[in-house]
Amino acid sequence: MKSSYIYIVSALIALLVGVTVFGTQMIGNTELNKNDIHSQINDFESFGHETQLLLQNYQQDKITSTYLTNQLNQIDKKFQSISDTLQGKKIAPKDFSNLKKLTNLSSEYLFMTKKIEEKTAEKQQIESELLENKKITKQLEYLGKLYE
Amino acid sequence: MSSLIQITLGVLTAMGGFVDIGELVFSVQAGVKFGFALLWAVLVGAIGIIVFSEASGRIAAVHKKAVFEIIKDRFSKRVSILVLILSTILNILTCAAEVGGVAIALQLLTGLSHLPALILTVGVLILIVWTLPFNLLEKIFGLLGLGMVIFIAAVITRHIPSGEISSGLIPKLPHYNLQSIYTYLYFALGIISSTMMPYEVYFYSSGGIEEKWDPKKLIDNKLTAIVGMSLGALVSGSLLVLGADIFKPLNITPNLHGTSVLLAAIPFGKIGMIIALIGIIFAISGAALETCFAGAYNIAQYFEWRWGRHLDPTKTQKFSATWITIFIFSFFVLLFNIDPVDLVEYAVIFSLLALPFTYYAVLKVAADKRIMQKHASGNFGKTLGWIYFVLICILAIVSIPLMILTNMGKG
Repeated sequence: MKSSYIYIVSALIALLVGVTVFGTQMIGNTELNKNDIHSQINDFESFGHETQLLLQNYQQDKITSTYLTNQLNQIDKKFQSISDTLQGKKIAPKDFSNLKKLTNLSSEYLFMTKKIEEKTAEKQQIESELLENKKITKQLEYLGKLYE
Repeated sequence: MSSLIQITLGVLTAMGGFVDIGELVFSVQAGVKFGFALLWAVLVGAIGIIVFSEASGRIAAVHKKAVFEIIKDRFSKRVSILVLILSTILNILTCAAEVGGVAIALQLLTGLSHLPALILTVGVLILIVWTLPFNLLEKIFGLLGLGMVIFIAAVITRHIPSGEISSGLIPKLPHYNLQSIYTYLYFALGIISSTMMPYEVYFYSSGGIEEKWDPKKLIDNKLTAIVGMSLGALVSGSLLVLGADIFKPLNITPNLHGTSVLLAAIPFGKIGMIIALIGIIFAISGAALETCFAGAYNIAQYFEWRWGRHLDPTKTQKFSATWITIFIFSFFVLLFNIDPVDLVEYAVIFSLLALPFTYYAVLKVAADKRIMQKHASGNFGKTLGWIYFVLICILAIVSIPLMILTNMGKG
């Protein structure tokens, strides 16, 4: 192999890595656009549906409380991380109220999972949280539709 | 009987290769986003990895050299050091992702918190690898990783019309907008790449050397590659099908790898959940072991150190220190709260840059009659190999632009 070939390949790899890092940085610093908001709401909504499925399967005794609480804990972290990402970005004035709603729904969700974690021993007592989760997910669906 | 025992090496490689933490998320997400439409990518990846692992195993049996040794022979010093650096970074990243995945599965099974689960995972892996002989390692992780077969059983319980599933084996672009097409291609590329990650052939061929394969083992090698990898492909395909059948109608896009466990819990209840978690723990531990060893094998083979787990660790001090360092480094990477799923997605996409170098060397040596004599690749094997080489090169070129265009598959 000629040495020039090595330099071309090295330069190509460096360029590709550079473009990725630059691209990621650009995405991180720009104002939130419609697609970003839609993608974040979709993630929230998906976690809402997942919570629904988890709670239903827990009530049917198909999953253990250890699995349920740990999975909810992981979802909590994701919710928190998405909220932090949203707060760290520039937001257009027209999106303020919707993103405020989203942040509130996120807080409601986190409060709800805390309540579930406190009473996982009683499967039937999570009925009210199941309804609460449905309500949150419905509102997320509505918000998502605004950005489709 | 001997063939049956040998297949466990393939099962370990396949389970680790197809069904690592990236696969648990990538395949299920592909099913959720595009239904059965990306099943063909699982098939393409499966045939590709069968072709290249069979060739690398054949080289190990006949030429008695592992993949990185032939990379060193084939390319100049500068190119091989470049491949070494790139593959080592990828091996460490992937190993960290797998270790993180095992720790999360352990948390889901036992309720341990993050740090103790992580310490336990790394500690137990180092202890097991240090104390157990290579052939026992592959059997333990390979066979217990078979718990993943529960996902194949779960597909059977869903009674999905076979016509619907088989329609996904024919590639066709979705009739949506341009962004959807990019996302579709990104997932296809991710599935193929995660199936053909280079660490699999580094590990597989070095494993052949560890087990002192000779030309008499060539039938076992072929059988191992075909059966092991096909089983892995079936599990991977099942995850995609279940994602399409269960999560898609519910609008769930799993961003956590623990979510896949529900796919076994829904049809089989708690027993299914526990079998799936145990399968995931051992299959991903197998992948962690593979990536860690692949990293240590490559470095040892490049610098011509004594290497191999079949030797006493005190006689292969540099090699042993390398694999222990990779495990410890993975542990520290995970202390920064990096999501293993994100980590493995980067590793899967960037591994496409190392693939052409790795598979070019394998193709050239496997077809070289002076080295392989009567065991050199035939016309069919050569043609298939070169078709895959061209495909890999195309994927390597489009991988990073697609990653940026689709915001890592998020659309």
